[in-house]
Amino acid sequence: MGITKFLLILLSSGLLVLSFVKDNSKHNTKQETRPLVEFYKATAYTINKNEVEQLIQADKTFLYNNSKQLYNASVVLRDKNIVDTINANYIKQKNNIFYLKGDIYLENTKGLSLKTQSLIYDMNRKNIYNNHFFTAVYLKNIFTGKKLFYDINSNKLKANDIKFNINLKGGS
Amino acid sequence: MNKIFLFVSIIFSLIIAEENYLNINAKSFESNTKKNMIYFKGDVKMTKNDDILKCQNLVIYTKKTKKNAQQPIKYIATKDVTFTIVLKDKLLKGKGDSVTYTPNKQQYTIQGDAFLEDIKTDKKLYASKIYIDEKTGLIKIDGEKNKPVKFRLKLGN
Repeated sequence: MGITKFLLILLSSGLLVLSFVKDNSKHNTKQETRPLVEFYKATAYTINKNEVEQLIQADKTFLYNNSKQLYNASVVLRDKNIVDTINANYIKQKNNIFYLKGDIYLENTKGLSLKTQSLIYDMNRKNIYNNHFFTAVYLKNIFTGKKLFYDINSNKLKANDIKFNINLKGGS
Repeated sequence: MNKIFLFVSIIFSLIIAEENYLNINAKSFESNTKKNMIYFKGDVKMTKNDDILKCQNLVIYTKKTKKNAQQPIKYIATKDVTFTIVLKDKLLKGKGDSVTYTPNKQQYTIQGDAFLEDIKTDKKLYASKIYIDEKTGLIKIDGEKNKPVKFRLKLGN
């Protein structure tokens, strides 16, 4: 009888310890997701020897160990002669990839302007893609569709379920 | 008076804008700016005013204008091509293995088992190649040695 009581006490105390450890681990992850630095209404520049490579303006900027999150942001990316201007409600940048959400407007010097609600801009592979509905103007042609893929270097553009309006006057 | 003028000018500009644009719906699309080509695939429907062209593959050859725009210079439609063209006094329906349209010349070329029907006069044409001049409404027909041109006319009552 005494042994059974002892075993029951041992089991319940073990469970208590386990739950405490679990709670602690949750607390630790919360601490990890806390930003290292917070900026409000800030402008950040990335400058190389010759020019400004990146310009980021945001209402809120949170910097983490490996990533940054921007709210109500405007980003200007320059690569050689191509300049991309992007506005979005939320941008997460990790490993040189921008994950954009909400009221996205992108415009570049190669003649593409784009409106959508979700977009990924991969700076490593130099491409832009999404799985959502979009409206775009490309070389003065207006079109809407889904699943956009745009290769910046080769200037190739792909999309599905397309509705394309070609300007017969060539933009005049 | 000003309001009427504004209304008329809006309507007029809308009509002009509609005439300046060509609408294309398709399942997928690819634009290659270096090659100056636009590809459309799957249930392609191209409309310009009352003209309609349906096919499975459509390639548009373009040239870049000074204003950084793509201007179409040739359209080639292939696979399950059917079309309706509205001319001054003709309503033409047809099909073929491929249909080419050159906007500069305003000319359609139907190739391979080309078929053309004038709905208003109930005339039917079968040939290897049929040319349609959109400006003049003139139709030119080419046959082959083994495939002569066939006409089918509806005789009066």
